[in-house]
Amino acid sequence: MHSRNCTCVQRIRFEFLLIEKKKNALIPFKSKKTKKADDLRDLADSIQHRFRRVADMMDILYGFTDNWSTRDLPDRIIMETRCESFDEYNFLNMTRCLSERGFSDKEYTLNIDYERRWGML
Amino acid sequence: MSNSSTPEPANVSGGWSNLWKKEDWWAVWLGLGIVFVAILLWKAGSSLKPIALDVPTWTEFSTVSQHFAAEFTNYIWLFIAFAVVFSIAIKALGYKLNEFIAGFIVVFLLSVVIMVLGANTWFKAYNLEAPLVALALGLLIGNFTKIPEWMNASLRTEFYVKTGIVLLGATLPFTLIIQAGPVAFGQATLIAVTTFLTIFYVGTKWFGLDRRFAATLGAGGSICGVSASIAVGGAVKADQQHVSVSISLVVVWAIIMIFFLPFFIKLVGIPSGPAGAWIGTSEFADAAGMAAAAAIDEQAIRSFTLMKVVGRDMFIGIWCFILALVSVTKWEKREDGSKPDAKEIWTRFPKFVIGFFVASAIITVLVASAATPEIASAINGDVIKPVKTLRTWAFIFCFLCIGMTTRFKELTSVGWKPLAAFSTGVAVNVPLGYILSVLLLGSYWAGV
Repeated sequence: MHSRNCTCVQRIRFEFLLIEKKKNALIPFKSKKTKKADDLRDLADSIQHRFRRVADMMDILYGFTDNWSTRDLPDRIIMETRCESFDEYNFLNMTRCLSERGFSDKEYTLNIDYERRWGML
Repeated sequence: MSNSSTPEPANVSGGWSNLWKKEDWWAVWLGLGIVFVAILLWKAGSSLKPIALDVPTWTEFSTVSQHFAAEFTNYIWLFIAFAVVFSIAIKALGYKLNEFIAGFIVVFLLSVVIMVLGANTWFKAYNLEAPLVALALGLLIGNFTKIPEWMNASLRTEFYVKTGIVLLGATLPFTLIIQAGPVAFGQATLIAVTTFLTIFYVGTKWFGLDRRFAATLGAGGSICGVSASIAVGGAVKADQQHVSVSISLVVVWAIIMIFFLPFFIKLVGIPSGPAGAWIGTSEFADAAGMAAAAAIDEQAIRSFTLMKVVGRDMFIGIWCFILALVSVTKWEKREDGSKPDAKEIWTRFPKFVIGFFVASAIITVLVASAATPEIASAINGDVIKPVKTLRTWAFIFCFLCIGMTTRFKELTSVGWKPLAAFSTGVAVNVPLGYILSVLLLGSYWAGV
């Protein structure tokens, strides 16, 4: 299939949750009975681990293209790009690569949107 | 096709900025804006009538030359009005304004030529109405000449038809929409579900197509054409090549139907109301269907719009949500963590439909609140009729653009399996639509 015959634009959007909100608390303490200082240290470790995982996934995605728009929200990072032809990167290759590098599909949210190319009814 | 005609997103999409970054919303603002201007002018004792121009039916060319001699200045004002209105949206959507204006001059001049040809008695005698002339002329230009890239900014089929549909809302009583809506929905849904399942079953069971591919094809052939293919393609995470094939099939069949349906309807003598309803279930795209219905008459446009916009287009979000749910829970093992969200229903909702409803409600309330029959008649003459004429112009721009932008060599080569699956759906959809719209509910649609 020739790329000039591509009739749609693919919009790929990855969302990486950094810290999950639980019961409206940004920092999810395991239990009120435990010592808060230790909880904080555990949380710092898990946050650091999560941030590294997200950074690694971002690196993988930037390996496909530099053409990402990113938005940083307090609890997540959103990356979005557009693929205008069959020859370019596409989301199937991206998810396959993430999976091969040990990233589970629960570690990100993927949304795919299509737009008609110019001139399509 | 030009890549430059698709502006790059400056930021991550979504949110309130859609209100001024999406073509659908601009169709709402422009359509409603024109309706409000028409009402304000009427309140001020004036009207949009001077620029609501229509070419008179003619046999001798002297009729046309006299018309243009008398109305030349008003044609200039009509061009300026459309150019200004569309330029606001074009600028906000991120296209080059100078390219749009240069291209729109060509579109407008060609549209004037089409209106003149469509008003000729010889053309009328051979059923060559303005929409078909626009389409044929556009196809000739688009496929046999090299259109410069700067024209692309002005060839905006979807934008013109959506703006036209919002204006169309102002000419339809809201009560009619409410009364006919459930019938249209019931009929359209029955046909859409049958067609979708046919394409999906034939595609997956007979031709071994991927389920997501078959769903994208089925949506294109049953719900609302290209809009459905791209919406469902995204919802079920179909491959880009599969969405591309689906779009190509929709476009080819839509063009065939624009010529076939009006020809067959006039050949068999199907009344306008049922004819429009049949087109509403059989055509795949709004713009293509509007061209076919406009080639019949005003009543066909009305029943087509009720069937297509109210009966089919509005429910694309629900289709997407259901198919996304099926895709995640029933089909192949997914490779991402996303789950369908009911927000999808709103996200996918075609926003121009809101403008269609609001325009209809505003005019209906205005007419209903008229203290005397004379005032109601004045509203009809000074507000509704000019809006209807401007709507006709918007549709002519659209029909011309369908032809000029449909370049068959640029469509995706589809392969025989998707073609066969999609065509089987057409073979079910068109006769079923005929049975329901003409044979079973013909008397109902004749009264709409």
